[in-house]
Amino acid sequence: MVTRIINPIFLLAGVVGFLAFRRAAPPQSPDDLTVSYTLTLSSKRGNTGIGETYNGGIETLFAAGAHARLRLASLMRVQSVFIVMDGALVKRVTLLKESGNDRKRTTMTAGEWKEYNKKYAGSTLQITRDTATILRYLCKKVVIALKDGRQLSAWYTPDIQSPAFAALEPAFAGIPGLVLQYEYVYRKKTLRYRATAISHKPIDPAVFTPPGN
Amino acid sequence: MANPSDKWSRLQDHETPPPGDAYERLRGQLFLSRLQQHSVPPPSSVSALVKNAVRQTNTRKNSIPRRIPLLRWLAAACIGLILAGGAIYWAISNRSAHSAIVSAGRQQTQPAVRAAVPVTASDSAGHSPIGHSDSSSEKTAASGTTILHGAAGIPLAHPAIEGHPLALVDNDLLVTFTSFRYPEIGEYIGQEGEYDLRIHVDQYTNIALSPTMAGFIKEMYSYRKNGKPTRKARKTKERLERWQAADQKQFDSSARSNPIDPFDLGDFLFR
Repeated sequence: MVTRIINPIFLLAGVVGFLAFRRAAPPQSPDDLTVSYTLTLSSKRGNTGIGETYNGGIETLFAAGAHARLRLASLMRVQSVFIVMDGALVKRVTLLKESGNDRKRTTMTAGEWKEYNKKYAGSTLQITRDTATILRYLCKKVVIALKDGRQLSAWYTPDIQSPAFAALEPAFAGIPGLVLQYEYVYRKKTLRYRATAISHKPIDPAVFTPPGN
Repeated sequence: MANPSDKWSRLQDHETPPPGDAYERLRGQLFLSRLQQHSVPPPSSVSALVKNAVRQTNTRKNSIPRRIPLLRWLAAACIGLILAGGAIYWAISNRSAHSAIVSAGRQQTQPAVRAAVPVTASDSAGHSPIGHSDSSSEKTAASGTTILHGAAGIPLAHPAIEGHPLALVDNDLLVTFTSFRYPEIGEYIGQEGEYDLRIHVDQYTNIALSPTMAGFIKEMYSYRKNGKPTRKARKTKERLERWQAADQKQFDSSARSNPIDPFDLGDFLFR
């Protein structure tokens, strides 16, 4: 008779535990995207001077629906770009310096944002045969060349699409996928952004609200 | 003289009955003892059947699982309840922590309007930069223009270094390090060659300082015997402050350069 009482208790404990764990698992939202990139600076000398204040910084892409944000956090500064999309078009851009006392906020229209990034006008994309595996995504290499000769190498995965990232980083306009690594080499020194985490957890809408709104 | 044969005949007729249960006891003993000695061998077919039955009984005995003692059932049920309770508690506390972080972020996104701090937005040539940014601290917020006075400290409100919480100085991580407000920061950095300094900014960001940068900070927190910073410490602090001034001049004084743009940042850092 005692076992008849204990067996249901044990079964109930198992069911409750299962439901609690299942509930604790965060829900996923395919539309929300959070990507973290680690900044790494490297040079033959080993010491990149002022670059060491950005070395190890984190750039985070937040994208959900019509809103996106790109935030750079480093020892030197924390800065964000907020973007509001209207379909595939840029509606409004806000640049915000979040660190320091003299924080500055600048709002731009789509035209002003395009003028602000005029160096990318006329840039070319060349998809190469090189590939790399980043966060288990097979990525293809593309070289972005500006009209003034500067080049940026990027690796993108066609498995994830993020038009918001291309709007936030005009260098990536026209790339058919999400860029998971990009690097700029200048005077034998390399500035590399490499994705270290991708998440589809729902993003709090407050993330897309610049302070002061 | 009496006839002796009369005496014997009277004795002959005398009898004493035995005790009441003597007869039964004697009877049982006599019967059992006779039965004990009696044996009848079983028929051979019956013998085989009995042997088979005994063998099957032994096999079934070995295959039947032992009954788990009651105490073990009780212990298992208790453990199950404790695990379920722990899972529920963890789930609830996770959701509470997430809500706390979110609400902290929400609260701190409200700007703290304090005494006006001049905000420079125009470039050195005096031209208005692209977009609607304002250099006057007295102008009220127009559409697309906001002056942020003072530090609202978000998302840098609760940074921590190696698990030790920090209250930022001037809402700035680098200034916090160069201000010497936290002399113990130097102790958080390990011995040379073991630098792995991390600054927790928020749930999305943990900045990992490079070994070179951690070395600079360690140098900055070296003291002489009289408690004053060493010459190397002072020079390192001056260097970091020069770097910060150059960075602000590049990206804050002029809106033409964007630190988030890889070309703008790389050209500035590597020139």
